Amino acid sequence: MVVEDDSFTRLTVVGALRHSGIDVVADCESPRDALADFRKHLPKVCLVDLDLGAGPTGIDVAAAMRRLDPAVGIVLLTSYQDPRLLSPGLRELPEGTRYVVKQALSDIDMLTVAIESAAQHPRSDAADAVGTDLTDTQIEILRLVAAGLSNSEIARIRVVDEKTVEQAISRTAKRLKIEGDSSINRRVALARAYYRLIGSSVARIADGDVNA
Amino acid sequence: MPRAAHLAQREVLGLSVREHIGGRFAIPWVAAFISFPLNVASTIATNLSPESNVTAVQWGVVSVVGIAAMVGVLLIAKFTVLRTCATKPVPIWLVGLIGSAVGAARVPAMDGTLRLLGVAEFGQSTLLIRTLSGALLGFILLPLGAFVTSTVYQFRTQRRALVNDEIAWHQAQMRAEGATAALRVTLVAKVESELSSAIVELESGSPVIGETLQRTGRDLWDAQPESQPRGFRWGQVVGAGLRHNPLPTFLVLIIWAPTAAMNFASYQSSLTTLVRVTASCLALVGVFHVGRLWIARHGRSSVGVLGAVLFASWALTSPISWWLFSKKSLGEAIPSMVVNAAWLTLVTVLSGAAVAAVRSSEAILEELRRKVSEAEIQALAADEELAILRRELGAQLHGPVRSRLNTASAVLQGMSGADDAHLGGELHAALRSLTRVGGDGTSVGNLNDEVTRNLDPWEPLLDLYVTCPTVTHPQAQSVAVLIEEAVANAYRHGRASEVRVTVVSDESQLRVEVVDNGIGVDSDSEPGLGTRLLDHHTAGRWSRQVRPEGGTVLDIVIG
Repeated sequence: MVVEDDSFTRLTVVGALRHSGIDVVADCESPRDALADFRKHLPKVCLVDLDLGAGPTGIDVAAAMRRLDPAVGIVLLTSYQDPRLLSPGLRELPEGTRYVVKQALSDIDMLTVAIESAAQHPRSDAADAVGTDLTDTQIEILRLVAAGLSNSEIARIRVVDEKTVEQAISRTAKRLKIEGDSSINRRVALARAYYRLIGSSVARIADGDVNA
Repeated sequence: MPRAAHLAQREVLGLSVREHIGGRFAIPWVAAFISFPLNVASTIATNLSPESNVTAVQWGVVSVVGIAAMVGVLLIAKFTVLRTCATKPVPIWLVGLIGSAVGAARVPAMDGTLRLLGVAEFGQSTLLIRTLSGALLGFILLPLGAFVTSTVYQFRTQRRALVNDEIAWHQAQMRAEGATAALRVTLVAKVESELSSAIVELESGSPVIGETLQRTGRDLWDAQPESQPRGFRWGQVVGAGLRHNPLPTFLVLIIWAPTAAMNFASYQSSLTTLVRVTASCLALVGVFHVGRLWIARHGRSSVGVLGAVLFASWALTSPISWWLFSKKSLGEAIPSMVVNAAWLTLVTVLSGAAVAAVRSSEAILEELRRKVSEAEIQALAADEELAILRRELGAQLHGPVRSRLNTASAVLQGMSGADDAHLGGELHAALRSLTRVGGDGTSVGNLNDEVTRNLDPWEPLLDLYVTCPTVTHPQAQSVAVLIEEAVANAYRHGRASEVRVTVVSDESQLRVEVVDNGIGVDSDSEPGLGTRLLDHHTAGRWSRQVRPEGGTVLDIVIG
């Protein structure tokens, strides 16, 4: 079963999975349809997009499915290198979730392998470590800088003083190995890192691939 | 000296005079490139005479080499002493010294070129005196040019900031008066009608719909606003400067003196000439004062008129200098008079703007701000508001509408095996989402509608019981976001399977109660988005308690 809010991606993913011999029992776009279809078909594995637009995330939907069927295998398909980049305060991934980043997919076999292993061992942690080694604070700093906020605005949102924000930005930049080159504005470099981590084409264009 | 130090500290448009002159515009390239062609013309016109064997073209080459020497010195300065001037302003005297070096480089370079061409040379004393007066002129002109360029740039920046403030104010007005909501309804209606007609076309079997659909998506998401305040011209700043300080006699005399000294030294050096130079200066001051009286009587309205008066002043002064210094006939001297009058007019105008910036910068800014009409500000605010709406709608509709439009056009272009029924289904679903997101405009601000809309996607995940009155509330949207965040937190971190939301509205305030059956909260955890939102909207008037029988009660008071 496939849950994906982008109908174009859904169309292509479902087509490709069927072509590889996987039996897709249902495909849907909203949390509402997802849970209705889930109750109806009780699939062995569910492929869920992390970002389902406003409201619950793919993680929330997957958790609800686990509540209905503790043995269901979950594969999260996403463009985000780290789920915390989507929004702060997410719940942790259900046990044994396979986390597949779209950009890392070179062919459909990688996806079918993840689905098959999730079907066999739905709750054992077969997945590689998920995400980046950034702390929650650093992830949020990255999001706010990329949103174009000034230090004082970030300080207001996070209820800290500007000096703390400046230090947090420095630490985030250091962790992402952004520093030393004065010809590149540090905020721009951070924003680029953010867009690269969420799989946006902006970063690819900024990195010189103008034909992207 | 204390006076000079005081002047350097004086603040003009947010920067001190020293920061203006020694800062990022220490080399005023723009001013330099405006003055270079005039300089070439002036050199040719002044030096051309029938007795000399040097042609106009040769004088042109010679003056271009002179300018190249000046640019060379400027470049050396840029990469040495002025390397970091943008971040750390250099002292004014240093800029003056660089100006001297630049001014001094010109005449020897010209002399060398004349010798190389084998046509003429300046002669020892002329060379020395012209070099010295060039250095003196550079000492004055480079800091002056830097100051003018920097103040004009500051004018432009500050004016843009002023106009942007006004635009932001109008945007806030639009939102308060509901104009933005109306704009949103119009925007959604447009996409809706295009989508409906696409469905009609599809059902009648029309083949061009794919392109129409793609265009609908592009129109909605990819349009960029032209939110730049328009109508800024350098002329506006110069004009404003001139009106506030039309004839900067003092400054012009400072510039005039080295020029006069140079001519004096080159042609004749006797007591009679000294008397004549003084007479020439006095004549200039006299003409300026007549101009002043004339402007005072006829109003200070037109920049054109002021320019004409200035040009006339210099043109009238030129015959005196011609009579003083030149051995040419009147006919031969006319070109040099015209060129000199033009370039001295330019210097006067720029100096006027600079002095005016020091004296009355606030008044000039005010005048520049008025140049952007109320109507234009309103139009810009509406543009900006529309762009924001497009971005918001684009984000909201990304999955439900845009992606469907792409899918539909892909299907139509034969990229997928899906059939017409699938396509029709996609389009109808897109239309439904659009209606849901766009609303009919009447529900804007209705608390029950907003809360229902935000909580709707959570219903399948947990048992949700909502009691909310159907009232309009100015903060309805934020309240709905707040409640959604509370429900999401109960589900995500409290592991709740049942949440009850009760909203009670009395005349002055809203009371929200969110009760869940979860495992409670970890009070040691870092304050999350929800806590911060709560603090922001309730000014701290909220509480969270863990019930002894399990679960959590969240109480919020708004208003």
